Amino acid sequence: MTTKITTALASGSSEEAAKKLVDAVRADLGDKNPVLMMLFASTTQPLEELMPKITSHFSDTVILAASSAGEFVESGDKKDSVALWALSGDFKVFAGMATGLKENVEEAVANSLSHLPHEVEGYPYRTGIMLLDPLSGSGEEAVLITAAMFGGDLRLAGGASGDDLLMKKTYVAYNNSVHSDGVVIALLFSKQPVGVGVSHGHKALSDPLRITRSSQNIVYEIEGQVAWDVWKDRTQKATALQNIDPDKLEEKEIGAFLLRYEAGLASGQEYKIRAPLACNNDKSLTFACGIPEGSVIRITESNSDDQICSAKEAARKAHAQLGDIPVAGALVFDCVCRKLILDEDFKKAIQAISCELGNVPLAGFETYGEIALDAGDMSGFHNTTTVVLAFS
Amino acid sequence: MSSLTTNTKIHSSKIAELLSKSIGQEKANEVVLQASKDLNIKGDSLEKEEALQILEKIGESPGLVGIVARLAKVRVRLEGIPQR
Repeated sequence: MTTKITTALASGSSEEAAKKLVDAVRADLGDKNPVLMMLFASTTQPLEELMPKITSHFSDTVILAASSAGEFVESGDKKDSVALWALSGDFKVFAGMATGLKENVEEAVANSLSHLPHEVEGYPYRTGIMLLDPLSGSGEEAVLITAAMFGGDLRLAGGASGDDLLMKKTYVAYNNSVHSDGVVIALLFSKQPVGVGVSHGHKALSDPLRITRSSQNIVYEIEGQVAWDVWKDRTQKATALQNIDPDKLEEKEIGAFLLRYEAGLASGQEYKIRAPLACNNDKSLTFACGIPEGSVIRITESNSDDQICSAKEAARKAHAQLGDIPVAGALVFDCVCRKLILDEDFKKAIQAISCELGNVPLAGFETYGEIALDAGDMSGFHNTTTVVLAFS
Repeated sequence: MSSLTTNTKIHSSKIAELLSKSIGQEKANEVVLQASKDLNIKGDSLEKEEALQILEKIGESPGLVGIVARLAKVRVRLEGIPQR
């Protein structure tokens, strides 16, 4: 059975958007239903309204969704829209969902995985696609717990939901269940491998800085000073070049500022990027996963060229994992900071990914965190990256 | 075999390297050193069982540090030290 990937981007009222998306799938597949569908929706397209209008047309399809901070398909991106990605072919797909990430991440992840099979006869490759609420502050924790529970060869990709940079409330969905503080996972069993590639284009701009006071995902002090003040001070030269004055940012602009200048944890020759999502009233910073006290970070930045190169690199890595098998299409999880840096050139990065994979269809969303974990990896939650999941 | 493993021995820096992917190199070095002290394990060349004891000790930590150590322990027990 040939793998087929359908993508569509729709806007308008939820009725209009849902109709366009359903029509796109029917135009491609006729009466057949996809095995898996992913929807990425702006906050102006509430998932509570959208999901029932889609699920009613695809009774035997697993449908996962996330609120987002920007939506795209291979031809370009849009705001205030819904992106659809639908997979058809010889796959076995199972899914689970749980809430309560903030309260007890281990229990929530265990609940989401509890009904999923660990193997399916005749389908030797396992790939997990995970969507989670990053405002719960346990992105890395959820990914590592999933890896520990499923063990060895699980390849995992996904993204953290967004809310158009409001940094207030994000949602994930499994069929008609829509929740914040939640995690959803689809487990795909396939006869051919699915390729995962990840890359970022950030470089350190500050000296090493020690986190001197933190609790879980909230950083209060860096080098004994208030976290937000350190961020403003150490980015001063870079922000001056961008004509940005951090002291004059409005509340709604601070999230975007922080996503341009993220934290990098040294790991060998590379940096693991961690995104500060919000500045709190006490000038502490909220991150998308735990930042242990005593960690040493560098504040990082990136430019447009490096962002386009890193997108192509992620696609190249994913393609390489498929060997000589032609790519049918891809699912892409792209950090919202990349759109902030690339602006109108963001479209070029998307097209570069499609081109690298053979001009294939793709869909995805601008995330608050990306998930990519290969067999043996010890970290799977990323920021500022492009994650490409390529299907053959 | 990793360049930092000899027969069944594992270098303590390799344990820190496993953890560093999630918590950064400096914090990883710090927690491995502290756990070694707490367990009175001396020297950098560790038996596999000593490496597992160190990871188990770190795994008692709250939050991300404990979670990544518990995953590392599973990986070391099942697969040895990953090559990446």
